[in-house]
Amino acid sequence: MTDEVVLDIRDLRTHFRTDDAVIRAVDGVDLTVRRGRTLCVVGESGCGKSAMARSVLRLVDPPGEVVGGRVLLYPPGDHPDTEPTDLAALRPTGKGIRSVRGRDVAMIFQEPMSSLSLVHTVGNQIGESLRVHTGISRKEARARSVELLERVRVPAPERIVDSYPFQLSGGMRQRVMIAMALACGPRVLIADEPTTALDVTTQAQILDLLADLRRNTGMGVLFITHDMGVVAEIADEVAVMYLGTVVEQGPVDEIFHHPQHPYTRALLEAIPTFGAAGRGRLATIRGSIPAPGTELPGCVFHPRCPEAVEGLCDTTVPRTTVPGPGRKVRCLLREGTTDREETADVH
Amino acid sequence: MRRYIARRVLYMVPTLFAISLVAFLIIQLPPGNFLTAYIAQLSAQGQGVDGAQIRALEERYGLNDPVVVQYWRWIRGIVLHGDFGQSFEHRREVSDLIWDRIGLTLALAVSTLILSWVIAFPIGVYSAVRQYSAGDYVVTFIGFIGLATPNFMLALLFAWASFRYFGQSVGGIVSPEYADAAWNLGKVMDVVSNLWIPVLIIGTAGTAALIRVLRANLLDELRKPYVTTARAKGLPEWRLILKYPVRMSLSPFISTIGWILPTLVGGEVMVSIVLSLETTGPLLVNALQSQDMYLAGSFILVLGALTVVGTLLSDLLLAWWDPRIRHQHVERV
Repeated sequence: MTDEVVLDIRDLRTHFRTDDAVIRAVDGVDLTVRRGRTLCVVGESGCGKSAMARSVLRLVDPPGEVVGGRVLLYPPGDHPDTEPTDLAALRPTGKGIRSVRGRDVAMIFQEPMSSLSLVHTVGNQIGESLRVHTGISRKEARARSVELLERVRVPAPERIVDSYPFQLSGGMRQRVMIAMALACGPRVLIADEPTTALDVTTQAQILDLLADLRRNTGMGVLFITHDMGVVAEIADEVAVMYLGTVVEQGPVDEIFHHPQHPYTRALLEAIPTFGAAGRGRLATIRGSIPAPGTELPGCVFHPRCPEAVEGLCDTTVPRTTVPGPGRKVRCLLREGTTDREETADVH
Repeated sequence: MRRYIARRVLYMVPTLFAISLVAFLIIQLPPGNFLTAYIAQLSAQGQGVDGAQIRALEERYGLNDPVVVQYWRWIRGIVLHGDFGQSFEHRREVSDLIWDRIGLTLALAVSTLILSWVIAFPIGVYSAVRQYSAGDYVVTFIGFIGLATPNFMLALLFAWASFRYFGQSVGGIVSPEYADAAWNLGKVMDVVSNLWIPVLIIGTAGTAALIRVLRANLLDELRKPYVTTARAKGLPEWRLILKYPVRMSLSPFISTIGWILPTLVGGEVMVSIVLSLETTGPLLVNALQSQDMYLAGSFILVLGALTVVGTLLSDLLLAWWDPRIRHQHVERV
């Protein structure tokens, strides 16, 4: 495993302009995806993780718009002298971003039923990105689609390639989605809650498959989920998002065993457990995410934080501190405990 | 697929039977019959009516028989001999009267359908994809005008304008010089050259409605996740729009092709009267007024049958277009 960076997201800002307010869905996110590693972005619904994922490929639907920051896509390892491409600077409908979509960075989505066209064959949809990016013939595309289906362990790929998504089970559909994403051998795979709509057994199979594929291809994976169980299974690194910002980041073991941010701790406590310790009511996080467009002074988490200090957390915006190697946390209560401080825009 | 078609064709039999029954009952509903209407007309003109003559006529046409017997006689003639009965008013075989008219009505309906699609399709797609753009507003505005303008008024305007400015009287699909000629290339060209005006007039409201529906359907589809998936593959925007959401938004249209005939027949009556077109509409209205029962009943029956066939065709078309319908009864793989 190397530390080669494939995708570097810096201070990404995606806002939704409505008539009443500007919703800062993504408000200054820094993330780094490395070759052959999985970075999990975790958070509650509405924390901006999906908007962040879509912003990378400029797929945010209007009125959403990437308004700031950079998304640097590094060239393949054999061209180290080429400059990285800033995807955030490209036109969202232009040729530039289109040549990246599906070829360098591919994406899979949550609902394989609605994310696939039900009236086109599986083979047609898998072969499509190959035909767009490499210009191969219909016949070749079909043959490659069969190979791809085999790679994602679909039984009888010769038959499935000519079937329609509505004839397949949810797990099979998600495999088709993955085959579609793998078609052009992307360097980065963005998976936006790919297992949320699946039952637990299928979910485990899909996670296994994704882990194997990542090992074999060396692609970097940006995995979006709200499920801490999934994080534990697949992540190398974890970023915890809350209201458009990353509140804590670090290697998966560190996050699970030494969570620093109160929000991370709350998320971990909310995981249901079996046995005597798990009896009784499920732990929940107090309150809910504020309505979109609400402007909060101070730390974004303070209204729900069990440790919030009045006069500090509701007035001062926390800076990013580095409590250990590869770790970052944004909490006012941690700022004093570490001597290796840095401000949000220093890397 | 073959079984599906066979089943659908089989379903048509009871439907057609029901239509024939309803058609016959409807024309029997108003009090009196053709003779009473005829007598009233004669009396109004001050002519005496001979009671014996009336009774002879009633006897001859079996007008005093029970409705069931009359229906049986009528439907047996149609099924066995293709004989739709006599028109009282025109004193001719009904089948002589209706087939020409129905041919022209169908030609008008199909041309109108094709024209409104050719116009509505690109405009509808454009105004959905560029929602709230200046172009969308313009098209929407024109569309509403088209929807709100009664067809007969357009027809009147057309007739007036062509008479006032071109010295030409609009009227008829077949020009006078071809009126009695047998069908040949010249006559066909003549019909085509006369057809476009009524096609345009009858098509306006339908085209405007089609644009609105296509726009609404497509707006729903454009936001669906599968569109984002296609975009994430790097497809050019127009290519993916035409391949995925447009395809999905067309299904509702295909399923309604079969209904186009009755709406057109209904919509064209007034236009046809204004422009004196030899379609079914004016003749049907006339036959209903004079209680010319076999003529009116046969019209309703044939138009009903054509609608049933149209619905079958559109269902088959939909099965071809949408694999979800084609594979409805196939197990999951």
